[in-house]
Amino acid sequence: MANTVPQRPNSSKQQRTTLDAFRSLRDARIAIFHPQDSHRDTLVQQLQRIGCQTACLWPPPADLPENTDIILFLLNAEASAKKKLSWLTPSSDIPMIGIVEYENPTILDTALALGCHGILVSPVQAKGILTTLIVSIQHFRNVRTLSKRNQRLEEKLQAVNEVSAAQAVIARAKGISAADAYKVMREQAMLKRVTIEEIARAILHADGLLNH
Amino acid sequence: MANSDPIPVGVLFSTSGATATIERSQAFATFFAINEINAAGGIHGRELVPVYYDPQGDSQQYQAYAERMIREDRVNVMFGCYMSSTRKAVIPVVEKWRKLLFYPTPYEGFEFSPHVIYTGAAPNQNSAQLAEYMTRHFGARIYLIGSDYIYPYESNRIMSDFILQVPGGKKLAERYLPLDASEKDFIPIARDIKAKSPDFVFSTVVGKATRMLYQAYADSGMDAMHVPIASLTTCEAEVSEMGNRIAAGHITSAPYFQSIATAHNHACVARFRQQFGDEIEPNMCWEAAYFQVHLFAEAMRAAGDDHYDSLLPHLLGRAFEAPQGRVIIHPGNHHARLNPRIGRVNANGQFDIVAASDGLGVVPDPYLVSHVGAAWNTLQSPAEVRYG
Repeated sequence: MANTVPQRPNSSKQQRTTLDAFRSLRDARIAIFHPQDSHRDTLVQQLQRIGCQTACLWPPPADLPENTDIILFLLNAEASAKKKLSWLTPSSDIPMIGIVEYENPTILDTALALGCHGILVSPVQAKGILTTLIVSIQHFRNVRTLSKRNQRLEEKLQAVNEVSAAQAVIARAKGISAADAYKVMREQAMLKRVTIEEIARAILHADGLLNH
Repeated sequence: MANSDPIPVGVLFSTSGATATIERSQAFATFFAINEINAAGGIHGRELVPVYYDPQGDSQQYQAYAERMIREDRVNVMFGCYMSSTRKAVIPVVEKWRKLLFYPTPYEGFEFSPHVIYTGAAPNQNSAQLAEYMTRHFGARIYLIGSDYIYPYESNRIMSDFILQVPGGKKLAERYLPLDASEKDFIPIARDIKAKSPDFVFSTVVGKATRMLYQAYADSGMDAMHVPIASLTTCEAEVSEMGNRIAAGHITSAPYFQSIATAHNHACVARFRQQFGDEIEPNMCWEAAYFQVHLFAEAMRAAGDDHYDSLLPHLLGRAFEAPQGRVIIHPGNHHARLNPRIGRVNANGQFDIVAASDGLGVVPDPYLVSHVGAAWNTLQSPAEVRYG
């Protein structure tokens, strides 16, 4: 027996409470795209033990059933041949878990290229399903959070560049320091009730027109 | 196989090691049930023969003996395990050989093996009720103390979730001690509990250390009548070890207490005492170990043999009138529908039952994460009367 378990980062045993991913899983609606067989029965039975709602469909429909929270789909030649599945995209806005029959590079590469957040290996067993669900949900959420933050940072960086370029334009035109140029832009922003980034963009636009 | 051949069944409980007291009670409950079945003519005239080994509380030995029982002693069914680590060691063996393990111990849930029947309480059959009862009657400022392994971690997670949702709920401390902790380890803990002055203590200390905790608690001058220790595992066996004076006033959540005031239970305890004397104290794990053998025997009578594939369909959905009341094996998750109760130790070292679920019991839900809402409603307020 391992008498101790690894601790979550920034979390001591003093804070032992439940991971959020578990709470959302309890009432999750899961779409299962898998032919009817004993493997699917095992999968559905375990999902029901976990407390999820399941909807089984085969072949996979072009559009998702309404209010689907998670997709589990058999990833084989038959499924991957049908490229016109609107939900099967790396930009999926819900977690997708592929069920693969072969753990070889071709299949795993396909699964990753399709944007799977998690993978189950057929024949599925009861154990392992909960783990894959939790890891996939968490992975999906992390990626979503990070890409949103990334987008915000890119916008911010772009704006910073524009502001300093506009500052340089004003400083040169008026023969003042960059710091004073910033003050001028800020006053304009206050006056026109827009952001300093928008003022900067207007200045750069005008500068472009005048110089070419 | 001729129809008169005896049927070997595996019995895998430790009679040495940290959890020997409770596991010995499970082993004797198993032998007791086997004796009863044989005395009533066996299974269609075939005698049940227990094959017993002592794995000494060591997971590797559980695994090795499970393998040996199957390969050399030809058992198809085994009864055993207390600590989760030992169950986890046996499961791959029964899965590999397509055999069946009956597991008679409350545990932390989040498990399903097609080759296990779980007859102890899942968290929604003991933790949920205990959290609700304790916060309602004592408050929600709690001190958590447990043995350092998975069952206490999970039990504390559930208790913490619940406490933090109750207005004024606060966790004052969460401490873990090794399974082989000694008397002196508990002295600073008891002192700390006294200093922090919680509304109640939630203990998930198991095995030999249980007595030490309650002893240190009493020695520090804490009053169990006002600030009790609440537990999921402290039962009659531990109470008898620590003595009535130290145990009185403390609270335990379990589907079974020796004090259950039914003729059925009284008769069962009396028959056991007649055969095995007073050394073993009937308790929640004893009762689960007892009724699961009868469940097996009834299923085997119906199935005609004890092979996994023929036996399992006759176990799923099967009901049995156990000493705790009716239990039913849930066909979907292999756990048992049980009858949660809250007991408080009285001056005689028995549990006064201070709350109980209604007659239908509580359906097992081993994957339930948030223990709030409907789960509590089955704990009836009117049942909060003292009897026995």
